[in-house]
Amino acid sequence: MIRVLCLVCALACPVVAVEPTGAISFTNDVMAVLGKAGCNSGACHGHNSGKAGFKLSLRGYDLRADFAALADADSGRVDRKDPADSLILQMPTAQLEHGGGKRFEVGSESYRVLLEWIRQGAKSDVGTATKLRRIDVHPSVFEHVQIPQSETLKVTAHFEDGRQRDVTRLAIYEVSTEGVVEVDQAGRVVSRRTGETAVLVRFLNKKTLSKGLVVRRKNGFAWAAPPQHNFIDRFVDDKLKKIQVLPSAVCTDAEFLRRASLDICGVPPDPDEVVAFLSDASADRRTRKIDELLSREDYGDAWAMRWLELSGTNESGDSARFKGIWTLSLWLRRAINTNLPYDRLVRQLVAGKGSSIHNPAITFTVNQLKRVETVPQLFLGIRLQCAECHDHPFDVWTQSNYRSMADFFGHLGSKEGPIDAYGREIRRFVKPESRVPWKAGDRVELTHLDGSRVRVPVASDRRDALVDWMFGPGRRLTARAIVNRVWGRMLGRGIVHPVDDMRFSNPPINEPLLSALADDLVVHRWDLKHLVRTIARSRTYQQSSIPNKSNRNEHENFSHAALRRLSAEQLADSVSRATGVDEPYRVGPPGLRAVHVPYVAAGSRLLRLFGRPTERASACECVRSPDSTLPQVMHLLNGEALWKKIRAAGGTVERLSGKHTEAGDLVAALYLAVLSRPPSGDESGTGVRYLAASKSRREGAEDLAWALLNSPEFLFNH
Amino acid sequence: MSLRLLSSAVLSVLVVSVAVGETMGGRGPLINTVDPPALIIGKQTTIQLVGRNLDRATHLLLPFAAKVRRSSGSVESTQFVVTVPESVDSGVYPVRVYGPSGLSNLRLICVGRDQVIQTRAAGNGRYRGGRIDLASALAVEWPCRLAGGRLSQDIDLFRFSVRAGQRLVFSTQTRQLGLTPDPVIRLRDARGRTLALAHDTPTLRKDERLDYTFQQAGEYFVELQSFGVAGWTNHYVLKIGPHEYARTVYPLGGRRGEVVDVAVVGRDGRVASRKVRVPSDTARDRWRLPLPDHPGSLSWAMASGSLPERHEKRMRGDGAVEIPVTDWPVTINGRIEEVGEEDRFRLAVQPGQVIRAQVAAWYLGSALDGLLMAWDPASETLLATGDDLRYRANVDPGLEFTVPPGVTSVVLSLRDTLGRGGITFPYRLTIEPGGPDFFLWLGRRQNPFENSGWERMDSNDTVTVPRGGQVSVRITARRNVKGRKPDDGYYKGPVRGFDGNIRLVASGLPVGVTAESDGIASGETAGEITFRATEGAVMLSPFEVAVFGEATRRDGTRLRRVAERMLFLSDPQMAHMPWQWRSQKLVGVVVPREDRR
Repeated sequence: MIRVLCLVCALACPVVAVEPTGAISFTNDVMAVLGKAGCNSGACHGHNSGKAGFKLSLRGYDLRADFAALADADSGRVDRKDPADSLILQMPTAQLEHGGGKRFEVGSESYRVLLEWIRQGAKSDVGTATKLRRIDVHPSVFEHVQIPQSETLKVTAHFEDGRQRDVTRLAIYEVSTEGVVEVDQAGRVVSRRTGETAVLVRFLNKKTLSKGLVVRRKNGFAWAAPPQHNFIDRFVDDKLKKIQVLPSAVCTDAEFLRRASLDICGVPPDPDEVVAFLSDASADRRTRKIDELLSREDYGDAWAMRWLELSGTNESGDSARFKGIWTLSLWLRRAINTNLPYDRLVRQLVAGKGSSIHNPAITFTVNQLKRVETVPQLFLGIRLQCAECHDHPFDVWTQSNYRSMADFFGHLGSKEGPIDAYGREIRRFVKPESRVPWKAGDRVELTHLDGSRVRVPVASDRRDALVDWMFGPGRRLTARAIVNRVWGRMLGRGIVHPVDDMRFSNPPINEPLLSALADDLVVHRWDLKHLVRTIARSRTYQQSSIPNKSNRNEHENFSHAALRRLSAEQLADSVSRATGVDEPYRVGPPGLRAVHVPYVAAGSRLLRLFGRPTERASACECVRSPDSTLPQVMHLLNGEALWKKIRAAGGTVERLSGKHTEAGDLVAALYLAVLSRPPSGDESGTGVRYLAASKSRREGAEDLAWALLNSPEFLFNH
Repeated sequence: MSLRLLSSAVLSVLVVSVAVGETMGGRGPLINTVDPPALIIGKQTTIQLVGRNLDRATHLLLPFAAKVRRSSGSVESTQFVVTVPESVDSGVYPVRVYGPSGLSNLRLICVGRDQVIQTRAAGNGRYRGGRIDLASALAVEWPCRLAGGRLSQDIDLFRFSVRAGQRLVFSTQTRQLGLTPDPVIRLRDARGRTLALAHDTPTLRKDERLDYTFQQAGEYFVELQSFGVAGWTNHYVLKIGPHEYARTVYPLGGRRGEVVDVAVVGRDGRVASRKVRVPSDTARDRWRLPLPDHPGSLSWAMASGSLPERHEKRMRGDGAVEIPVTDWPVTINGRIEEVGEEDRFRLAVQPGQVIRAQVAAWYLGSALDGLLMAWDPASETLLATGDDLRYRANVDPGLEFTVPPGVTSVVLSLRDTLGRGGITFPYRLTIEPGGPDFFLWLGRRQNPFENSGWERMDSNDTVTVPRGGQVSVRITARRNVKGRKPDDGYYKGPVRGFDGNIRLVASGLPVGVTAESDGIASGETAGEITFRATEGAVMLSPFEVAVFGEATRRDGTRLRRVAERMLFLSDPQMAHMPWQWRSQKLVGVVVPREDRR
């Protein structure tokens, strides 16, 4: 969450612009004053519809329009004959009633810059002013070892003509992580709690970061040197050492098996599998189990569902796209299970050709979401949406980037195909207009997000050029995005968090780790199973969720496993496995897992309650809510659906009650079926006593199963 | 062969159409399902027809001579025992029933040599806890045709054994038989792991074919899951065997009455040539080619035309980029051989000429989704683009344009819209003079979801005439006159604009049956043709009648168009029935007067 302080502080800190001597530049001086005063912020005149009839472009991305709004003859906001009577001076100084209050004082530097500019004729130098090349902040990295500790940032602007200017008091400061530090509008940073943050510094249209780490040095801290399974642990440990936090111990085998099964396959292990694993004394049992889980079709089923949902493909569960979604689901599941390299997978999904019936991959981008936005967000972790209307306020992306990205898709036509009379087939093709022979030699220039350009034949499918870049010059971005997403899925938190917001102002918590994972994926030819395997084998992944004294308040650097509520699909499938009764879905044959039903409209209350999105306006991970809510609790505690499953004829409880004559065996079997572990001695004793006190053993077993199904241990991946 | 071919073609085209007088409506026999929708050559098969008013449907109408016995009958179902003679080719054929209450709608049935195993009642196949329950599979021995049903919210699972290296072909016959299931074939190993998937094989529309070689001997499973709608015709045939099948044929048709050398390309690319005479019936523009040497395929839909035929390869010469077409009208048979290939034809033209070019490919089993363009090469001006006619729910393109002043040469180019190409991309390109034109539809448009609307439409492809009585059939003209409210906004093709009188005439009437019509007046879009049967007309002897619309353009050129069954995409029958089976002739029967209740 970006905390915007500029408006709050605008009154408190007198703004010093430049000495209003010499020629005042609209582009470099006036806009700096307006920006610092917050005039062109989203809450003020930078709002989409402006304020009080005065509209500026958001944060000054459109200088021409801003000049027109401010100084055109018919705008009435500058009075060239009597400059001091100009509205742009009288309103922000509150000489006239101003909804935004007083922004600066009469006679302040800001006031004098504007006044002098008007006196000089209020001229535009848009396009001719010396361009700002970049801004630097010093220090770019700071580390505070006390709380509070302060630091003053210094910001220098570098212009194209070689001129440098201290713009510390004109720059705008925002922090990325609330609470770690505070920053005022003079650039003074004060630490408030331990943690990491970044201060985003903006001046005119340039941005830079100062990254900060706040640690409280602990006397007598000694690094325990826990085992390192692979390079992941090395980078995690380096960071933990730096922040003086000890990692938790490695989790138990039962915890590992359940966690790995849920993360890799989306379902908990079967009781027989638990028993076999717990009795396996071999040193490499976890490694072998990871490989075995990756070889199951459950793996592809679980991961395909997530991609389908993120792309919005599963949303249109109407008859028009019924088969397309099913076949895409089947295709994707198979592609992931056969370990189709990620570069080839993405090429199929982003640049798939032909008919959705014959090539299900193209259905991936046949939905209501905009490809120009979903492709960068899904595969590059870039949220480009803001840049459709204005330059991104917290990132480097501009409207020009957005339009350039759109160019990769603008040439495409689509039509309903003939295979199904109900229009369920979509065909994708390069629009015929570009296919006339005399244009065959023409080429079109496309610009990638990194500014590099490529010229492609006008009749070619430009998406190929985009994917070429994603896995060529842009592969660093692509690799970081996917490893971060997979990491986030398995660890509960991204190295960049949120996982699909790899924003300039949202740096990774552990840059060396992210880079190493990305490099490793590229070296291993985009092998996703290798990535999952590498993560799962690490000690970091296998750490206990129980914190130690050292890491109790540490939640960002993977010092212990995160407790994660089961996703809607994991929960539905876990309940089905535990009770032996399948969840009924509105579509598809009975007996399918939740991840097999690629529709939001699956007809399951449980899925809806536990956060499977019912509509999706973007490819953002945030659309799916991981939160726990009261209706969820009520559904499990009081809901009929769960109770019916527990009591169902042929269900687990009936089966186990009939199979086990000894109460202790029955209790143990129920623990294995629901919690994927045997009960402890105490738990067993309590269970046996409860069964003995129950009206009937069957009823007692039902109650016990109900209690276990409502326990946090079942509802969370721990 | 030609007789058999002809008889097949004759009744095969009868599908789904027609219109009859309102009197016919729901009173004649109506078939909903045929179970199994399969017959065995040389053996006796019992088929059950379920529908309405079947108690007096005493006869089965097949396009070949077969030994048929009615074994039972009630209002809602009737059974026939059918023995198909050895002389009949495997393939797909139309089937109807008739009797004193009239003639039924059309259903399709496949004929082949493999055993038919009815599995509808087997209840085989299910998932439990998200896993396939292999124990629920039904064991089968191949080669076989599995006749199943009720797939809409369920799966069917079959177990079979193979030896190492065995190659088997799994093919569904649903849409090819006008049935509603839209399956995915999934092949699983003995542990239930997916080995291969198939759905919607190009050239088979929504049917699929899975050609798989098993590396290891053992037990395997084949699973069917449908994504189609349910309904009465929720049946399927799954064929399993080491069958040779046809991937494509070339050419896709020929000129009426001429002998065509057809190359049938088998599953491994082996080409088998055969000479076939194209039916000379002018009322039909399509026929079916039996494929006795390719039992994995049903008979192939072919086109018949009236123009001279040429072949792109022979015209191309030494790699010419543009093929000169000096003699037209013509039908050019060609193929988009390579990915991204474009075939170009340069026409000698005169300014002011109206040129119509139409492609026939998709519904003749080609994978081509054509993009047709016409341009003036001298001025680099695009004259017309054709992509998707929407006519017959077609993807085959067509265009019509007037040659601009000063232009004496135009180029027509054809490529796949999706940029594909290969051996399965043959086409027919017909180039002829254009001008004002029209379509004729048999029957009236009706909301199929209103009451029993779809049944009415389904049944209306027959004419049942009471002896000594009469019945009228509605004929609709689709004129697409510019400036008028379009009579069908769906059609975007070149055939349009004729606004004059249209005479309606019937051809092929049997003795004792006459037809009269006032035609369709200028500016009108509908008329009627009335069939009368004399007291001496032969009863219960089905016949076929073509209805032609004849007209004269202002420039004196004459038009003769045959009436086809109306296409209405919401009509379930039309949505699922292969296009080739849409009637271009009425099927009629004369019945006793007293039975016309």
